[in-house]
Amino acid sequence: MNLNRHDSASPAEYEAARPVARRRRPAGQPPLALIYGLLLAPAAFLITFNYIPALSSLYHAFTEWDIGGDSTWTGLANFRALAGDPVFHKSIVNVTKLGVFAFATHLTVPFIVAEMIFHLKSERWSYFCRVAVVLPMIVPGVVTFMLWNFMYSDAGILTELLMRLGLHDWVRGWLSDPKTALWAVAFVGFPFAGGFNILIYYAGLANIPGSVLEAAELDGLGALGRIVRMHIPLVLQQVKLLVVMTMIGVVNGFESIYILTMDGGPGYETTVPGLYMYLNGFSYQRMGLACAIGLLMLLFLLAFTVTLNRFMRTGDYEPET
Amino acid sequence: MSRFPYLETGQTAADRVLRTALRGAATVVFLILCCLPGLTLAGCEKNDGAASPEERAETANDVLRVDLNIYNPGTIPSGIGEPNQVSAELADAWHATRNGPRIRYQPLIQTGASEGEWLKTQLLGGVAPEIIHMNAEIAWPDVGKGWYVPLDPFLERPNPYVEGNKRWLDLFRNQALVNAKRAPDGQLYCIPLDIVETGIYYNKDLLAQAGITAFPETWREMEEVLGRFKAMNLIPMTSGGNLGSDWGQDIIFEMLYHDILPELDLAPSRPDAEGYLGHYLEPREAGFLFTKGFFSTRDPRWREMNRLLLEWRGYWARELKNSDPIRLFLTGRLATLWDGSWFIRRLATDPYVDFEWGVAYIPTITQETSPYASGTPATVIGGAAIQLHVTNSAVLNDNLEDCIDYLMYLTAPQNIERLASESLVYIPNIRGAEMDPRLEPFNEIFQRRYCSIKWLESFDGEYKKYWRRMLDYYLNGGVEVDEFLVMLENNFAEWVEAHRGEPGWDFGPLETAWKQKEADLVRELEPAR
Repeated sequence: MNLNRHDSASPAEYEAARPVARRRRPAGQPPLALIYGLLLAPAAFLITFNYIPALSSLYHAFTEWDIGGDSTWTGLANFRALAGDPVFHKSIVNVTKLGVFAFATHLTVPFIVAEMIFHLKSERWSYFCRVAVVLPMIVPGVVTFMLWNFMYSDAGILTELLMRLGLHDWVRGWLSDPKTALWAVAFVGFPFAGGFNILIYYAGLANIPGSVLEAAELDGLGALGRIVRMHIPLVLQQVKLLVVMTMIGVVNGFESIYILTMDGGPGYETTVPGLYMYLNGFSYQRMGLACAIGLLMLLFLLAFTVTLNRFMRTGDYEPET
Repeated sequence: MSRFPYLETGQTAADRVLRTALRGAATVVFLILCCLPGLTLAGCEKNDGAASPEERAETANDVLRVDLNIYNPGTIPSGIGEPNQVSAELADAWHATRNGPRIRYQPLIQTGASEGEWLKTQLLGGVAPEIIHMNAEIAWPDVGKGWYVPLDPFLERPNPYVEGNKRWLDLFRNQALVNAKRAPDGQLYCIPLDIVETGIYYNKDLLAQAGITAFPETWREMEEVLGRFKAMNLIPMTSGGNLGSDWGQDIIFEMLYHDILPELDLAPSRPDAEGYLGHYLEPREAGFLFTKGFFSTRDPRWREMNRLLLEWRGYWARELKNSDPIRLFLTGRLATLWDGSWFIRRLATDPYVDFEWGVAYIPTITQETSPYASGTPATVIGGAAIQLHVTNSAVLNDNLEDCIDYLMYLTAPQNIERLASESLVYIPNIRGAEMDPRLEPFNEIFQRRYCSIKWLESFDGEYKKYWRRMLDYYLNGGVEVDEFLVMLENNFAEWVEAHRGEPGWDFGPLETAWKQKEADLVRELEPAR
């Protein structure tokens, strides 16, 4: 039976025929029960190991709680403690510095690399370059941090290089010296041509219609003009995405610091809120305080994302009609 | 329905088989995932940890589970050379001799920086290996729980594997060390099988290049030598991780406070351990003395200790935590390395070591360096290495006698000698056991007195971590000595306050002892002229 509504079949005939067609499962498609059943188990694990702990931490942020013991409701005591905690303040200063550095590097360098790839004439070279920038992503992050750890060590390449150049006075304990430790951590990943960010930018650039590019060329817009006046406004959606993801990475991430400095030292020179949360929770057994730090981080990220969405206007290209 | 539905859907027979297989696999995975919570709950059901009587009988009759740490078969000490096999040979020989259970070596899970939670759960459940290695001090808080078997009654028996031995306890070379391992309840829960030591490994070739013929004996001479190495663009000295600062402050402390230690020791150690522990300061004593002004900004020796430590640090590797000292030493970029006796094995067996090396110890601080110097030799950092405990599993499995017999077998000189010679990391603590001549320098070092306090080990929890963190900060130029001393003092005060009133932290007897010595001790808080 023909089910096209615009055909001559009467509505009654159509309705009579439709349910039969809807009930019928296309050949080769698994039964719905199996699909939902398969979803059930991951959902159960997601709820058990992600949502319940997250919700639990919201509650425990207002308690004093040692792991294994009972929690006691203390209201805003944890937040008051954090307000007067110089280590927490220091960690905020540190993460702010790291954030500014990350925005300056992780957003600009990948854009430049993406532009270079986008401007390659040969599709084969373009493909090769995209593969080349993505390939390092298969190296686990921990390995990368360990390599940088070695590079910064007394036996590492950085020290060796400076010594061979005769620059003995420049050599220092990059991760031990309070003046350089934070920047040594920030420089991990140099030259910051991270594969993921490049791909996001490249996708945005590739999405610009050819007619727009041709029009810009006909209007005599130079290469720099094209980038500034056309490419950047048209990849703002991607910029927004990367800004949010970079901010989340900066605020939540502490694994590089943990691997490189072990404890956010020397002193508290490389301690960030994420690491301070971890240390409070698992080293000092102050889980309530750790939950409070986690809650503050969550609120900050939420506020940042909402504000960004509200005030950073982006728009895809829409041809004039 | 068509007999060949895949013809209608455009699928091939292979597609259909593949789809069916995938669907089946997905169903199996789904069922497993559904069962997982149930299985987990079943595993968490209340359990006394004991195996069934049948299983117990089988275990008791057949197997003793043993952890010998570095001596376990298959272990490669210091990560170089052939894996150990002597322990396996000894196990077979013991089984043949006794006709008892077989030994199954079961290395404990090493959980890095954790506090031994895994082992505690095993002990709580009564399923830990029957014989395990752990530092006696870690076991002490739990000895009242029945997790470890007191060994004193067995140590009174003769060791049948040593001809003429009438009392097993007499077999141990360093009796004071053995007694120092007695728990606070006075009982011995471990067999201190051997001894570990630290020493300074030095590159003789680099020493010669610097125009030095012998390793320095005084602190001043050492600074001069280290200065020459620095001028040669070498790293003069370092040690692994934070060990240099940890060991360093204990060593310097001893040499500055030595003369007043008899007075400071308000709660003397057990007389039978005095030969090893000397005037060891327990955490409670250190806490009490702090309340009287020692180890604070008022204490001139305390300041001197930290000053000297910072001065010394100027000769260490730039990175304290990740300096990779072994690589630096083996490649001739580090002149002297302060490390444990275990490093001997690497130096002795690495075919690529192409320089002459020697072992020395920390030089003496003299009056040339500090007015507080006692001029006494630097004390020992180290002590008992492998400390074997018999766990509650031996009692539950009714094979305690077998465990004791196996320990007696291991401590026979001819057997521990074989174990130690193969591993080349520790010195046997058994009379009559010959040591590898390459370990001889450590034997000499061990004749010195043990350090009077392990500062960072005395502290606990976040106070210990804070001290370590701030020490690292100070030694890397983050704060000046005065600011650092205030940080330490505040941390010390909080630590004392957190423990005061706890069991074992009664200041009453210490106060009485203090009153008798007060006049002399208060004088020591005045700066030296």
